[in-house]
Amino acid sequence: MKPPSDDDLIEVFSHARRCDREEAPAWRPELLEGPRRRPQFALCWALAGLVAASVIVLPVFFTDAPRKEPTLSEVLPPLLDSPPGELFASQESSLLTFEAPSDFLLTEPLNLDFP
Amino acid sequence: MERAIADQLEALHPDAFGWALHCCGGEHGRAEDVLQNAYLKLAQQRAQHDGRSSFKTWWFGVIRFTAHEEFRRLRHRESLLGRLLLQLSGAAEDPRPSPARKMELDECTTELRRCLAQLPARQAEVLHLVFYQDLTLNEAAVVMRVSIGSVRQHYERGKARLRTLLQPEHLHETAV
Repeated sequence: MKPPSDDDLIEVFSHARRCDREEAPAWRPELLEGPRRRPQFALCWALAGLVAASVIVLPVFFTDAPRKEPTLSEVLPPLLDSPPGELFASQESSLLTFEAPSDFLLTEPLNLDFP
Repeated sequence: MERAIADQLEALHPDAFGWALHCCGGEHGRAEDVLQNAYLKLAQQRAQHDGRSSFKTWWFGVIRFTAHEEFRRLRHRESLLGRLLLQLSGAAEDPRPSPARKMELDECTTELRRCLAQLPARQAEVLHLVFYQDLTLNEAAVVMRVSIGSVRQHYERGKARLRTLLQPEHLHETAV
């Protein structure tokens, strides 16, 4: 209980209270019907991290997949890929048909004229 | 939400608005926002009554904390960067009440609010909680999260200062 000496203040505050009550917004029960709980941000972050990690890891996984090992015969070049014949036959034939290049393309000062 | 809590909130709604109004310095729009945010905390179970104090004192503590959060947000908005962002977003608004709104407010209530604004925040809070909300000093201490001794000191000093401010000659001087 307030002492009697505080009646003046009680009266002033009571008056303000009545005024404020008239201006107070109406009670709306839907104010309390919000979502029960916000989505778990930790869970959202974990999911986002999982997706990001999978985006990085999956291509690496697929590119580094074990390949079929080639056999030795596939790797080494063939030793005898042409039928046996005379050695240097192709070179000899080209020597026989060899023609020396003409010098008409050379520049003028390089052409020597002998009297 | 439990029906009993909803009933308690409904019964406390007008007084809760009065407390939010005090915490927001009499700004009607901000008080509504603060109260709505406090209700949202309850709906989302971000604030739960643990039974250590009465429901009213606990609920008033939640409103007070929410008002302080809102104040900090407002202070950021009023900072230079905040103003710039507001101008860029075009969402600037005038927080002052309109002249028509000022006319609507009761003169006596306006004077009381103006005098309370001149008191230190703690003194104004304890006077509001005791005289307006009819709480005891112990309950006010719980809401304000300070010791009973501190509340008693604020209460006595606040009363003396408020009486001085409410005297007609003082009102006249400050009005001029």
